Amino acid sequence: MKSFSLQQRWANKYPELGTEPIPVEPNISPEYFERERERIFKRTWLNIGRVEEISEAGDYFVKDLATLKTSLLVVRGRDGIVRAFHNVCRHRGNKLARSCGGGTRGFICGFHGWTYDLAGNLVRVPDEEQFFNFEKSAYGLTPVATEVWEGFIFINLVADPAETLREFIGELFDQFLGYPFSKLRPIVNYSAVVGVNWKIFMEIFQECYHVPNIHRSSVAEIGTGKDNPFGHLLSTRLFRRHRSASVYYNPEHQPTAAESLAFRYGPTILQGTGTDDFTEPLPGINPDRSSKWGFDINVIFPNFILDLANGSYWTQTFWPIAVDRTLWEVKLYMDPPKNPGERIGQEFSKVLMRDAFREDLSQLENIQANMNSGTFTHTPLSDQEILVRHAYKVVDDLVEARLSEIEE
Amino acid sequence: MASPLPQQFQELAAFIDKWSLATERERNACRRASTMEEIQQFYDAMLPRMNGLIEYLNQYPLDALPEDAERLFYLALSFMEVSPAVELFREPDESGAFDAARFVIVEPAIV
Repeated sequence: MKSFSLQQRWANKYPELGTEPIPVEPNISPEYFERERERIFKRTWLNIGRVEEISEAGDYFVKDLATLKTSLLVVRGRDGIVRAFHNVCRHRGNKLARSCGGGTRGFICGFHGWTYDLAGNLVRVPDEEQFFNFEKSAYGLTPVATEVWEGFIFINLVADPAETLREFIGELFDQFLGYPFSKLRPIVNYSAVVGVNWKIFMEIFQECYHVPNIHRSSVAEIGTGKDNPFGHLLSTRLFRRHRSASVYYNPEHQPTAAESLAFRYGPTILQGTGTDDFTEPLPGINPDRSSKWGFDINVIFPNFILDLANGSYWTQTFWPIAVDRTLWEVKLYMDPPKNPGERIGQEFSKVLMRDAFREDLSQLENIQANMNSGTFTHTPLSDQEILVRHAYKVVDDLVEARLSEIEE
Repeated sequence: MASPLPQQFQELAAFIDKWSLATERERNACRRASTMEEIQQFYDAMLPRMNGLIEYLNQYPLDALPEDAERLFYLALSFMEVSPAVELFREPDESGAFDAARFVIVEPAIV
């Protein structure tokens, strides 16, 4: 019934991406990885957390980032402003804050006791008179460019970034105005170090072609249906560097006993708030107003995925450690539970998400090992893997210096 | 000694030692270390009581559960923990899934 071209609709929508197989080399070449580090990660806005993690003046967290070969100190000042610094004492380079976070009035180096305030100013140097031609003001903490979008804290290692965070987020900047990010709280915090290239890792969360197979025991039932047996994407939106897609929901989904229980007491990741009225969903989600909508995938270049459902959202951040090794961090955000019943219901979403993620992760190290073996050089992509194709091209254009912003 | 569970839920007391666990890490480890028979027995005992149990717990604020109610609350969280084993996988932990020991549950995320 449907024409061939209609069935392969994304390649028609984005013909500039082509249809050729994509190369394996970017996932196995240490040299390519070093160029990604220098040309992408060290020059791009990167999400490192949310403002609620440091809600009071003096609250801070430390983020050790192997990708950037640095440790960052992120702190809320007395003026309420969130700032990031290299977590390095300016005396002889010791790591300043050693715990992973907390609340403080300032930072005292464990080596010689140099003391900094919350704005990074050096305020105390023991036995200061013994230094030569010394001005404390010249030895404040080294700041890192920091901006906030919808409560997400972004940093950029370039001292004076070429584009603001607003320019960087671009078309997506205003899309989520009104989505209740600030009201939701993480009920889950998972992480894993996986022996796989960061791009391969992210790719699995940018297509649903794998759902009927890898998730056959868990969420395939909800992600596929009679009218959509392969879980084709409802819509795709490819931007200059970022990308989004809407994921299908099976209207004939049969909840299990545990899911029905959970759903009675609050939203679940599968059924959202349970409304089938998609004319007025939460702001920013389901842009096509599909009645068979599960959730939206939003990939913020280069390494941040923001998946939004109706009443919950989850974030994933991918930090490459080496060409074939990646730290993955995931958080699921839901309403702070008002009573024990809501908390018990949320445990359903949490456990199902964890078990489904462990299915996603199960294949990654096999893929990397086979890529490393050199037995194949290219991988064909289906039209349903258009976001994977876009992800590859955006990275490759930057690594091969085809995009203007890195032409100096 | 005070009874371990609220009076109307006494028949679940036999499950306290094994399943009334405060953290997700403990609950998941317990599920993975259990036989399918143990999991099924716990699930079957809990399922018909879950609605009443939640109604009972909801008379208390989440952060002020009396001790006996808190034990019941943790049993309910364990019910959710084992539910995929019974309802989806039909084994305690899915064969072939990513190594649970390498999948880090960072706690507390928040209660």
